[in-house]
Amino acid sequence: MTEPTVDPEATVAPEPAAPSPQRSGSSTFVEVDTSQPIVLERVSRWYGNVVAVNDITFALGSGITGLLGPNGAGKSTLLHMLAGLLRPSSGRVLIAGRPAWRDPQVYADIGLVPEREAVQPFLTGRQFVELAARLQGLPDPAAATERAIATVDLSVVADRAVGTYSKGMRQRVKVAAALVHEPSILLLDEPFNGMDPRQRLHMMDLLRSMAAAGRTILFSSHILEEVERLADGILVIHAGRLAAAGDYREIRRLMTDRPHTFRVRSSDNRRLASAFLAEPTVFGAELHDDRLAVSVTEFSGFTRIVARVARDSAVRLFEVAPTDDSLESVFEYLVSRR
Amino acid sequence: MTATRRVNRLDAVLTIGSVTAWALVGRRRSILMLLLAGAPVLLGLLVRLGGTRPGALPTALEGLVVSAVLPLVALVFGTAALGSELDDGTAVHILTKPIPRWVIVVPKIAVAGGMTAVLLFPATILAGILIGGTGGRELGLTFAYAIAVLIGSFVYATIFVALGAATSRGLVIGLAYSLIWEGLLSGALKGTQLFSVREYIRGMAATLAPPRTIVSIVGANGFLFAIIAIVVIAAFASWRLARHEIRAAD
Amino acid sequence: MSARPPVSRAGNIYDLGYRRYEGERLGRVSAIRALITHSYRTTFGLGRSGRAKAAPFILAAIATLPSVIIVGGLTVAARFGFDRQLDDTELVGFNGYYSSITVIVALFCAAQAPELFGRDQRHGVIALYFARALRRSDYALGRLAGFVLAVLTMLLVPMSILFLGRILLSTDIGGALATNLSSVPPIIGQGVIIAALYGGLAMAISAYSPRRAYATAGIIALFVLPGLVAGIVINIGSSPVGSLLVLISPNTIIDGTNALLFGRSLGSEYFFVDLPLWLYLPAAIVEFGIVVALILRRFRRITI
Repeated sequence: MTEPTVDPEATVAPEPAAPSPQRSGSSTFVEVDTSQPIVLERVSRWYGNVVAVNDITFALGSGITGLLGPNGAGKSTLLHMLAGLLRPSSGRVLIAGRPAWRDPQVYADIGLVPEREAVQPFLTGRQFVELAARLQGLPDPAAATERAIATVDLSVVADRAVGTYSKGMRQRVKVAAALVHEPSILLLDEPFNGMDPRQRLHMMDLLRSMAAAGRTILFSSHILEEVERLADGILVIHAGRLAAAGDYREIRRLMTDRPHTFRVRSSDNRRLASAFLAEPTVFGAELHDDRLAVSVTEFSGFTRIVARVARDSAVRLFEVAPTDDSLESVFEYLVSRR
Repeated sequence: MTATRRVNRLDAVLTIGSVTAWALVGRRRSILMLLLAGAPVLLGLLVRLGGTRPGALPTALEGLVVSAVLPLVALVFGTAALGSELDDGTAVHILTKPIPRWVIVVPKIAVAGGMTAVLLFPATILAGILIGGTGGRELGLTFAYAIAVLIGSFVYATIFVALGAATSRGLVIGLAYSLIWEGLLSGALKGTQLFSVREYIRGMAATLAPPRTIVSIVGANGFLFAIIAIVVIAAFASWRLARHEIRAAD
Repeated sequence: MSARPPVSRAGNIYDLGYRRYEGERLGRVSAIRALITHSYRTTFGLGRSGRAKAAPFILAAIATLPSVIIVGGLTVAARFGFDRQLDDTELVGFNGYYSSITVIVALFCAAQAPELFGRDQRHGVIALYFARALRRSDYALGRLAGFVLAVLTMLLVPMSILFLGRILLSTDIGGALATNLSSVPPIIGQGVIIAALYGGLAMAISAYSPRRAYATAGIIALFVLPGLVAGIVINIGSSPVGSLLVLISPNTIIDGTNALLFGRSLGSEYFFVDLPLWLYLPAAIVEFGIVVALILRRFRRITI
């Protein structure tokens, strides 16, 4: 029997500062730890009547956090506010304890990889990264540039004009410029856009190694597989609101008003099904071909009874696995509640 | 967390300056600006072919170069230096660096003003020589105007860079300033001449030229006002850039 | 189950997926008309955000404001009993008003023409226009027509205010109407010439330079520089070249037609009094023709 795996807490996951998914809205203010590198306190941003970011509070520490949300949810707005490019209409955005807005000195600690913003097309890759290095006041800009370019694997094309680059190359040169001063905080807006799978894996390895070294990395995406594979913790943002924060498997546990489903293979599915239906935590069992899909109200409740029920029915279990313990189902649940 | 690094201001200014210069010397833009700056020279050639009436030099130089070509060229370079980068987003890479905003503004003004001056200083001299000849008095006038245009280039560049930082419609506002404020109103309302760059230029030229050739209200104060204008407006541009919000939304 | 079910017994599943449009399709003429309307509205920023309305409305207001002030002033004067003077005095003639707001019209064209041709090209929307019932020439001329009509509106509104003010404020309305009726054709004519020439030139330049900064600067350069050069050239004494430039430069052309249509002669402040007045009208027409040809050429050759 396969147990649902418990995530080894290798790195510090972001604090789930937002209230649990059952309660809607952030009406209760949760104290955030302002000593963390990235802190948002009741941050909102509106444009006239349109609220782009709605009362968001969280704090992030070292490790990789994925900012997940559908298009138009407010991810770019949030990242721009973190990067000091937008003023929050209300609330505070703190980077390393200092407000991000109107303080050029925060940029010594931040690397930003914007999604949309173009690079001056007439510069070569090397010139662009070296420009960043020099404006960061690095003592040896040329060497830092070479290191950064090698890290993103652009050494071959570094002397071509950026205007001739493909989209993936442009992304990578922006990442190189953001890394050249080895910032402790890295903000990436849809960084894997336009990258082929090999480049994506390479970039993910790079980000993981940086997170292991203690950096705080926040990247936004609307592609679930990327976030699932890379992030230690997630922030789900939908229509400007923070829908959930933390480890997505923990969030799944908290979603008690949604049934969990398990996939069970056994020596006698039908007998097992009728035995399960006698249990109070189980409220559905479906027979499909060679497996049994069981719907339960509570995750841990089922794990406690499954062995006993099988033994009492004299049925041998071959496989028990949760089927919707994926980020996709979590996400789908969170964004469909509005 | 990170070592506190202080960016060498001079190095940053020079770096930004060279990137801006590179950006401004686009092929199409250069040709157009050469044409514009060539207009006074063309005028001079035409005049050479047709014969000259005495006393025409100040009117010619002032009417064409100072009032029309100079603001236009400064407008194109000034908005290209900062405003267009803010509008299309490429400025983000420079804004997200630990440098004070004036370190960004000053080299852009210097480069925009410098390129305007590089084009118009020789153009003014050439046109002046073609129109006025090389007599002592005319030459004095020509050089007086040329130097005044040189300084005026930087004043106009400062204004247009500041407009680019302040608003995305800086182009039209700059044009409105040049045409309406300096053109129409200055003629009508004498008081506004205190705030007209055109008047400063005339004052500077009047000071440098042989006496009693140019009439100016501002006189030698033109130099002072020009410098004050540059400093104040550049400071405003830096202040405004510090509060610049990125123009795209999610 | 004894009652008959309301629908037939045989079950049906209705395909509610993609439906084609089988209704009436309006033709090319309607498309052209819609394009002209859209161009007109875009010129004034209608249908777009508030910021897009700022520049055109402010400029149009500046152009209209003097007429409102004049009529208002005349009304006040009438209240105080200066009626008799009003019949004789022309505070501002129609032609005088036209020459005063030339600069504003130039700014308006420089600010708004790039919106019409520039934005479509920059965002690659031209392909969508050409894939419709519109032909390339329809697109080019439709946009031009919409813009010219908008500039014409901007010109005729203050003129109408002046005209109505003059009529309604006089003691003898019928007589005033009779006297001033003869001014109507020149007013409309000059308005059309200014709108067509300035508007057309501005649109031609913006058709060839999609980037707004260059288009605007180029338009202003074209409006302002040739006239200046011509003036200086003539002042200095080179008449033939100067005369040629006068006939090319847009602002001198409209000064000429202004005088021609209103039956005045050019005052001494104009430096080109030597040219016969009737030359200006064909000059305007020819230049407009060239402009239209240039615009058509641009969009016939543009690759998307």
